[in-house]
Amino acid sequence: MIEVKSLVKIFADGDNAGVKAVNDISFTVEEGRFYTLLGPSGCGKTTTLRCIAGLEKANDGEIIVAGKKVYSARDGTFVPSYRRPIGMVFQSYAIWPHLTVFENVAFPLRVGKQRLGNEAIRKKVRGALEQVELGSYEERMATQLSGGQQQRLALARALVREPKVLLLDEPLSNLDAKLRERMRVELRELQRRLRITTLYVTHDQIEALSMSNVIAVMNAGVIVQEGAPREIYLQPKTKFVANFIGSTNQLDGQVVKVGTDGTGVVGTEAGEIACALLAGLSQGAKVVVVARPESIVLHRNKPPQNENLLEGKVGAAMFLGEYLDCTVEVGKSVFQTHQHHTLQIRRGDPVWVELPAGECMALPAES
Amino acid sequence: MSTVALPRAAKAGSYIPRDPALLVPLLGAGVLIYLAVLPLFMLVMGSFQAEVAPREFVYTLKNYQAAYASEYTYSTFKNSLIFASGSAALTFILGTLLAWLTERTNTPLRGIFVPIAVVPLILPGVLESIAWIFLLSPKFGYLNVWLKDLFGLQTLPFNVFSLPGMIWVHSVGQVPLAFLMMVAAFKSMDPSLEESAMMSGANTWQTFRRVTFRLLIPTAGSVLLILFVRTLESFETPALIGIPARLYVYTSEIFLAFNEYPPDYGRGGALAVGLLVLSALGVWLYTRSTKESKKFQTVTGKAFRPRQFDLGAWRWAGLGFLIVYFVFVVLLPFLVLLWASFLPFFAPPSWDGMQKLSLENYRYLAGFRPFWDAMKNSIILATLAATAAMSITSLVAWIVYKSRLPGSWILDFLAFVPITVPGIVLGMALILLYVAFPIPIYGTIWVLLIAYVTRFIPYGMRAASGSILQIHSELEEAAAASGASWWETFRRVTLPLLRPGLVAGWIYICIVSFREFSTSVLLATGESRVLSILLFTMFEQGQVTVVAAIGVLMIATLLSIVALFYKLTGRVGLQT
Amino acid sequence: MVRKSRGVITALGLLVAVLVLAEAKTLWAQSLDELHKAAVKEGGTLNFYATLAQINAEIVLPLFEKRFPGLKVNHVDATSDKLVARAVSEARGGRILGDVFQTPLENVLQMHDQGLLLEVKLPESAAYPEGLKGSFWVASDLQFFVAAWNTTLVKKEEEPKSFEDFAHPRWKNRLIAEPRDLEMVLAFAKYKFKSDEKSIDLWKKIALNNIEFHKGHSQLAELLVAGQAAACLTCYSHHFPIRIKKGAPLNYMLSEGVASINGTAVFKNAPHPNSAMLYARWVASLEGQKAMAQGGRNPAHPKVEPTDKTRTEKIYFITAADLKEFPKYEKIWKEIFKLR
Repeated sequence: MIEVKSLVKIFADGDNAGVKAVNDISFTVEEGRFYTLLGPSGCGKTTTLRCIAGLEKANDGEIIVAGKKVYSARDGTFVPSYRRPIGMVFQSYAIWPHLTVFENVAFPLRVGKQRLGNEAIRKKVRGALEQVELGSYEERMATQLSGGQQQRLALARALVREPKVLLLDEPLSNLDAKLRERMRVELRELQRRLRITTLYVTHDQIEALSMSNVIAVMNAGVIVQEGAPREIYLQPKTKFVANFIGSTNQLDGQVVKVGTDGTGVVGTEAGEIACALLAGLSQGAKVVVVARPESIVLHRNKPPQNENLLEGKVGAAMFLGEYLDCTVEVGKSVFQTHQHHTLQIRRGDPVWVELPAGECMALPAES
Repeated sequence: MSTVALPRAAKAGSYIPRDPALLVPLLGAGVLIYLAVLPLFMLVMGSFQAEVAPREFVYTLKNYQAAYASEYTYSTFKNSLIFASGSAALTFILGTLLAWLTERTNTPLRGIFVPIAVVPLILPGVLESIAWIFLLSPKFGYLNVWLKDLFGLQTLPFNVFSLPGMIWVHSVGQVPLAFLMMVAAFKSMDPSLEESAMMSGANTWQTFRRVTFRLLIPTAGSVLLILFVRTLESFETPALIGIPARLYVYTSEIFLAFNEYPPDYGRGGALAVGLLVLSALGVWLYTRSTKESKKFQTVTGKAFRPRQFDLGAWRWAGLGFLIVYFVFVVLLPFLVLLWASFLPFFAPPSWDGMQKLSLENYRYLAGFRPFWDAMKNSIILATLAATAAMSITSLVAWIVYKSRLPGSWILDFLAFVPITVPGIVLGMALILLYVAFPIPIYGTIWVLLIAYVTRFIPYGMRAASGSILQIHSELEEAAAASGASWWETFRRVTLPLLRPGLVAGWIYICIVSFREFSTSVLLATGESRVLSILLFTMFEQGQVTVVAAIGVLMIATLLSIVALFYKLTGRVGLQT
Repeated sequence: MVRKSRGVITALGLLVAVLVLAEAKTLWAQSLDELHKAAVKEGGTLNFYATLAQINAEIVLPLFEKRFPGLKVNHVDATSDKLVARAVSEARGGRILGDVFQTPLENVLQMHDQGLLLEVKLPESAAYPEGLKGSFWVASDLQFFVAAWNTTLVKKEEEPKSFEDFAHPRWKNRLIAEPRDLEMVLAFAKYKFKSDEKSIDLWKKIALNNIEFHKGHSQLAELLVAGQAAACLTCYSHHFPIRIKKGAPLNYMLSEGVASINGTAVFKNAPHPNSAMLYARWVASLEGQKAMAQGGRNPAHPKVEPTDKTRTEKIYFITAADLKEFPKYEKIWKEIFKLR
């Protein structure tokens, strides 16, 4: 549904003049899929989205939306935004403050080539509002809605004319944690139900992981890794991706033994660790062992098995409701771990740190 | 707890519409260029002329020498700078304070204040200055005398014939301009920014200082620029109050140069060009610093309830201030006028004076045909000029601040230029252009319309720019992403959001069009009589009290127009 | 050979003389009625560029229209310098729109310098003394600068009898005047004292009384009425009868005064030349001057009296020649009063 080929965007002015914000990226979003561009700020994800929306004009490459070429450097095509079959939700929602909730959603139906009768408009708007559960707020001024409601309003507006493609630019970043969680689920449900091709931009890995069919991790204008969420999470191909996808713990080391089924042993200063090895690593390679905070288990008393056990000292322990956020000093490294809230430990306590072999992975050190 | 984060800045003006309707703003720009360039050209050419009112052009630089190197230059400049800065500062402070009290606090009775604040603007310049002289003259000023008796002072406290006196009288006349523009700015502010300040523990004053005020900087900058330049080029107050005080300013010089015979285009032009350069610099700085500033974009899609500051007990102080302002600045001069309008000739308020009160002046006006002609023409011209000017400037403001056209700041400069062109120069430029024009507009009110629109575009531009800067780019982008073409976006999103600025500009231009004199006097004829000229000539003939009656009627008429306009444009701003 | 050419020259000279006389005869012989007919034929409009005040014009112009039916006066009204600016600009722009120009003499001369006025001697001008006419203009009315005072603020014994009285210290801080009225020092120098030094001397003494200056003669009159000052040194005499009739506590000195001349002239290449000539001749005639008096102006015609007592006994006329010396006396005036 969306095809991006060799897209390049260079900023001509401002602080980043001359910098390639988008540096030759290509990807395809298949029909009905939820595709996320994930990356830190400045990586080019929003710029890419805006190029697809037609709010920015790229410098090179080609963009095809719903089978129609909307941009091509080679033959000079550029279809303006208002002629692209898109619906977009902005980070600031961009709700028009001078219109009511109804009128905000009706707007796309009142402009453009189509000429719908008032009755038809009313039906569609009501339908869209019902979908986002804002049905009873029709006559309110848009500014009277809360943050979460405004976000849903923006969504209704984007969907009301049943676009082929839905573009979302960090729509949840201005909501509080609880609301964000709820909206994540709702958005995903909505998208699944409507089967609408969606391109989503965010810097929040949790959003990406929980909502997407495909994630493309971006950094400095290029796509670093593309794949299903699980793949990205469990098999990051580079240190950057690993770091970005989840707060992760790292231990430097060298491959001591390469095993058969993608596992091996890595020697570190804190001891030898058995873990998964990224394909292509050979003995002696400099690596970094990564483990998720939720994978690490802390024991007050030394557990029976000996594998992947390290000695450490508790740094700080913070009770966060669902889990205990606990930092542990192991040698020169500091690990961040999530423990069950019933664990009774205090700062300074000696602990045994277990890195389950199946839940850590060795990645090339220079990636 | 709600996370109130600033909307991530959209890249400035990055939305490039590809649309034939873009011809519309370009047309607006074209009109602007057409209107502004000729007078500018005449002014600059004139400053290089060797001979006064020559029939061919001989160029020289001696005018510049005469203008800037004379023995009086230093004292004139000093006076001018003090006058302009003092006046701009005082006007700005008063205007902003009043606007803030009216728009953003819970001061009681603030609702009726907007139309009232605008009254001083309506008073014809001649009458306003006279009223102040009568009130504050060091010898017989009524206010002075009253205060002296009240406090048992030795001498009269106020002397209007002084630099502070000049600053006061001039500022009082300009406060409505600052007030209107700052009201528009206040109406368009996103309160979440202030709320987050207050959540962090700032009190009302700190919030105002750190957040509110900072957000107002583009409008504030606009207002200060216009006030400063306008004071530099105003001559009514320096003439009526400065001359008796022997205080000469820059503009007295310009005025004198152009009004002596033959008009000394050379010296006057050289002086005016200096003003032009200063203005160009100001406009360029202003456009540069605000164009890229997303941080001024206060009208976003987010919660948009300009919040009221609760002043607590202080709100009575606020009301007190409003009342004092009203009494001293609006009511007193108006009362002097009202009193005079019922008298056969001007006399101080006294018991025998009361005997002479009558409706004679009003009866005279009722049957005086030229008065009704002039009133009709003035109303038509004022409303049309305001509408035309605001239409042009909203389009041009969009080009300058929202499109990515390179060099568009020049349009902003051109829009500002007419302020620096003295009325008489504009008048002469228009005569030259239109006296032999194929379409016979010379001698009709249409040439006056062109003159008024040209003269007042600067005010319209500043009002429109201040507002347009506050509109977040994403609001327009969202319209495009929803399928709206450029014109649909402009009509349905941009213009409504521009409303505070448009309304402020419209009201201001409508009112000052009534007062416009120096250009009208060159272009008006018997058929195209306007009120300001009628007023002036009648004053010169000694019918002062009739003129006072005209003043009272003007105030009533304009207040009605303003009230009607308010009603027609719906709620001004985006209140819920 | 020489004799022959002399003959030719004489013959040519006679021919020219005959033609000129014929032309002049046409001019002179045309009665006002003949001009009237021609004026109506050419359109019946008169574009009257004049500083004539509204309250005067509304009496004088209808009298003209009544006398010459079929003619309509289009009065273009503005301050004199603006009228000049306007006429000059129009000419530069390519069209002459004005027919008759009637303003203070100073401005009429400026128009002449610009080459916009017709050289013509009106037959009616014969009635006027030399100082009140020129090769292209005739005086239309006069303006008198007099001293005036507020009767509630000036005791009977203080009332001035001549300008010398104002040198007395009792007038300290009680006087107002117009900053541009250098005519006073000029007229006193040329006509009152016939000596520059004596004039300067008197005005210097008066200056010691701290004159307060305000722009605009009308404003001066208003300030006087309101009691903002006790006396005014340079007011227009015709401002006062109206106010006094309405009951204002004013009086003015008629023993001596300075007279400035307003003149009438005709535009060169006027759009309505016959109307223009008609008006110019009518306003200079006895009948026209009587109309001016009726309208409230001070007629210039020696045989016509003003309606109100606005003419002073001793008159110091500012003539066309005097106008040329304005720059010199402007400097002197500004120096005496420390003006800019």
